[in-house]
Amino acid sequence: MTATVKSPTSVQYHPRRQRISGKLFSLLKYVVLIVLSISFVLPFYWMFVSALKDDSQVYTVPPIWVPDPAYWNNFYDAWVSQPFTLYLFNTVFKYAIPYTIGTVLASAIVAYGFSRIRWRGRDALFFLCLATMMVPFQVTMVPLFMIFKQFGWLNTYLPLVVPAFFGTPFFIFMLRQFFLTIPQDISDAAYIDGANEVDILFRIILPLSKPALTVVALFAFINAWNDYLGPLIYINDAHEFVLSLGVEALRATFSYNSTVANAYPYLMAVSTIIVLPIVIIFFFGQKMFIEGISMTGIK
Amino acid sequence: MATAQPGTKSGMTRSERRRLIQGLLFISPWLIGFLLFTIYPLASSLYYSFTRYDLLRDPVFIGMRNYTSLVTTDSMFWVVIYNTLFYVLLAAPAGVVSAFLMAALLNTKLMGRPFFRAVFFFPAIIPTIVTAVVWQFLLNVQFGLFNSILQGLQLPTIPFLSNPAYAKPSLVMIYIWAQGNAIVIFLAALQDVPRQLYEAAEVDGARAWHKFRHITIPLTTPVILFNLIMGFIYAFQEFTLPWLLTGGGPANATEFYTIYLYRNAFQFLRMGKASALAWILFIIIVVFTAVLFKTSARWVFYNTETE
Amino acid sequence: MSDSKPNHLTRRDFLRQTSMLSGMLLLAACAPGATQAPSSGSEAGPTTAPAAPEGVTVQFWTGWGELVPFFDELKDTDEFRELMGANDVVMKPTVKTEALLTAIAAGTPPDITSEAPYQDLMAREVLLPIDDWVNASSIIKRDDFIQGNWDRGYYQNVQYGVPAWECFVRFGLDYNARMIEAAGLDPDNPPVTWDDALEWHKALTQFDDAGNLLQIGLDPYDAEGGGIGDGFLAARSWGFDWFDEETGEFNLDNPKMADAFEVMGEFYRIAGPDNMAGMRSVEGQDTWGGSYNAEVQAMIIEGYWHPGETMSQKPEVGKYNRATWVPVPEDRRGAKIQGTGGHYVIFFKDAANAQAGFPFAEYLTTNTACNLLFDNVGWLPAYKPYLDQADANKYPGLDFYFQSVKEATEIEPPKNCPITSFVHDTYAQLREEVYRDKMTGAAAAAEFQKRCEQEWKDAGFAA
Repeated sequence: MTATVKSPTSVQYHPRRQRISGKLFSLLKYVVLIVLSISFVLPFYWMFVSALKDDSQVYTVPPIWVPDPAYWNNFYDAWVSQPFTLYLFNTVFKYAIPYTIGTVLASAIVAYGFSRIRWRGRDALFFLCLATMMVPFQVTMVPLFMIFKQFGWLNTYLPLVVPAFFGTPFFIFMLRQFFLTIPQDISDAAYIDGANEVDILFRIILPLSKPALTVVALFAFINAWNDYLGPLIYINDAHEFVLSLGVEALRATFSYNSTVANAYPYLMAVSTIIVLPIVIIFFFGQKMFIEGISMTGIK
Repeated sequence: MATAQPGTKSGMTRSERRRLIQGLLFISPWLIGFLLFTIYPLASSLYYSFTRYDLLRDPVFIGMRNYTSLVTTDSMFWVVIYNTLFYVLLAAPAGVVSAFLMAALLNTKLMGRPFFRAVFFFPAIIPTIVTAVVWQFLLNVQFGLFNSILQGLQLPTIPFLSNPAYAKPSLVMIYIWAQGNAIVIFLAALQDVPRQLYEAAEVDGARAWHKFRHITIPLTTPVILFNLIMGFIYAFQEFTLPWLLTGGGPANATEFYTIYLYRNAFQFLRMGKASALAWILFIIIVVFTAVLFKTSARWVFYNTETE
Repeated sequence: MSDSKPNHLTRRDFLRQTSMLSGMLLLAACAPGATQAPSSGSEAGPTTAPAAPEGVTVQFWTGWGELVPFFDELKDTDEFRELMGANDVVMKPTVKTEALLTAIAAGTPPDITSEAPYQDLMAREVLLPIDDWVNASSIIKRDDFIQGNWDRGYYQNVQYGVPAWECFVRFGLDYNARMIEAAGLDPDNPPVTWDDALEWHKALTQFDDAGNLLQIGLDPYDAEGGGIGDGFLAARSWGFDWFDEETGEFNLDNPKMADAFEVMGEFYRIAGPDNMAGMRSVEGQDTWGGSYNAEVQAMIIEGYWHPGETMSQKPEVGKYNRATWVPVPEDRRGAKIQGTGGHYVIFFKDAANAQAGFPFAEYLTTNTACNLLFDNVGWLPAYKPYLDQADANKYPGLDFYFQSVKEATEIEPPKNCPITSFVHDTYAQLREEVYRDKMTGAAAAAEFQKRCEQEWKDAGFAA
């Protein structure tokens, strides 16, 4: 990786040697990139092909890169070995979607107050908001648990979803940074037209911020999709499990019963299925992801 | 809260006061959430940290005993401090450097950039539980892919996760693998560096390294600071991956601060002590971040004219 | 499975049980107040009579996963329905201790639990005393249970647990006769001392040409070898009392503990600590006994359940199973170690339907339930009337355990130590320091003592 240090800008220099060194560099660059890409993709490739194997193909030296025969039915069998369809429903509709809506809405409103209105103490409070990112989850874990128990929210998604409606510091930060890049003139013109702050937020700022809001929404959705610790603590009833808990349950089943055939292939099959939507979201939304982050322009 | 000081109120104009109220209204969701979901739990756990509390019986106030016993008699405390600092100080900078280099590589003239970018970004957004099962399967000393390859070549295996000396570096390797967020953020910052600056430098005859050193790096220092801070905060709080992958072993090599904290709270029934641990960690992170900010004045370059 | 062998014994038992049950039901229906535990007086909900027309659901959490495949079958019996009435039991399997503790702390424990840190919970006043229920029960009677098991359901003279299941004797050295023979050893002459066991371990531990571990002889810390809650093998084998229940004093800093660290650690040194750790992180080999089933480990220290569990999980391995006494040091040659212990049904104070769960504990002692458990997972209760007629030869190696009850020179219950979880974890850490040569056995023993004493103070148990 160290070979890449000089890469970004060493393109057009030394006019005479430029063509040769440029080509050499270009070649080297692609070699490095391809080697790196392979090492980044390898775990996913291995996850995928392992999902197609049976036990005898898993524990083999040297490893089998392309299983023959390939057991495509593992995907189906693994999926139905636990109620994963139910977990998928829970993950998406009970957790990820409400969480995403809450996060985007609240973070945008709060970010507006932290960026588009000048008021005394704003920056101090904003710093405090950022500082809460430093509070280790473990510090608040048990007291929070007690609070939600008082509310009677245990074994529901409320402890996971409701806090999102109060904004999330990281996303507040991202949106604030984005809102700051929108010229103040736009707001000033609206004030003259008699608009109030709420009008400006919903009619002007939010429509201008679609890329940033989309990124926040995607990140929020993925956070909820991936969450393990939150559901682990609050969700007890197996009918309310999310996908990550389902994977852990599958893993626990194998641990407790070593005779179950295809432990690894099943685990890998379910892992592949769970990763797949993220692949799809990312590949279709990649442009928005990247543009959103670049436009958010964290500085 | 500094805004509510009565003395300053009289010094405010009407429009200042209106803006203050409006500002507070807009941030009120966060403010309420902050009081309810952060301040109150923080205060409770601060209280618990001065008690002997096993979760099951009522807390008993014992003063500073949890703190003093951690520092003086708890044989694991310094082990987990060492492990955590080792990991954090290795992982966070290594993550920033590797992410920066990969972003720089992606920022060159490139065919298939979206593809490479996607490949590098992707590991950051998959569920940790998947990361854990997949890497366990890759790194296992007997059946892991890497060691199967070595065995196939008649070479001795590498006990990535089962040797105390290799366990932390192996986790750092996975950490670096999952630095996609930082890569994308760096890439965005690199693309923001104005082309003219490079062109002007080339006219002056600057070499590639000089352009990198004197244009690219200074203009991206705010983002480097951002990623560094996020990296440190994340690494300090890293829990799920080592918990699922190594469970603190082998020989306590990956017994990180948060794992020990969790163990104290939920396995040893020492919630008071765990709360003390949590507060110490909180203070460590705050001090760390503050120091980084302080030093950043010296090396972070804020270009106020680019807007 | 049970309906495939409806023999006379079962049927007769069934009739006897049924008549007993109806008596018991009558009793329960007539005297719900009398069977109420003293501390549950303030609770409104929990005294639902078992036969209430609208049944309640008893939440049963357990760390076990083994029950999953046949728990429905276990409930689908006439005895269950008669004892439980309209009430039902719902099981949450593979519950981690953390989840249980958090739930208790939040005041939302399950109604009943098994496979949990019993001693730690009993000592912390979160369980319901059940003396009154037991006194009123016509099924759970002290004299029917092995005494050691019964006694361990008490903490400071108050009964909290019913030794309702998986309770028979805890210690044996099980070995795979096929692997033993393949290594050129004689399965009819199993090890007696740790030195013998080490010789077998050396012969059985095999590496490939590149030095990679293929199989091991014995992981002395696997299964019952490494636990504390079910009896501390090292202390039992070397013959010392590690904890005094009366005074709360620990006796871990002694030459025997030091020797145990070194001797048991030697098994790890031979196989390589990294290799052992690697083996433990493979799915199916990472938990209790998994590597024995995978035929990667030829010997294992486990209790009576091992023959049955292995047979149900992996018959092609279970059929080679044999069992003998756990090893002892040379100077204790001839000592035959056995232990009581095992699992309880415990009832939580803050739970809504804890008392409705008591008949479930009663149900577990019925022949029907015992048969189902014995058939499916090889488990036996501490219930003597069942043990007296159970087939000691049902699974290969099981007869050793039945014989051992009569032949043992030392048979003891585990220590009732309220910081058992801590001792367990500390033991795991320190023994690794020893077999990785970072600490001598003597230093580890001293450290063990120090940490336990400190924790005893910190946890507020010191007078």
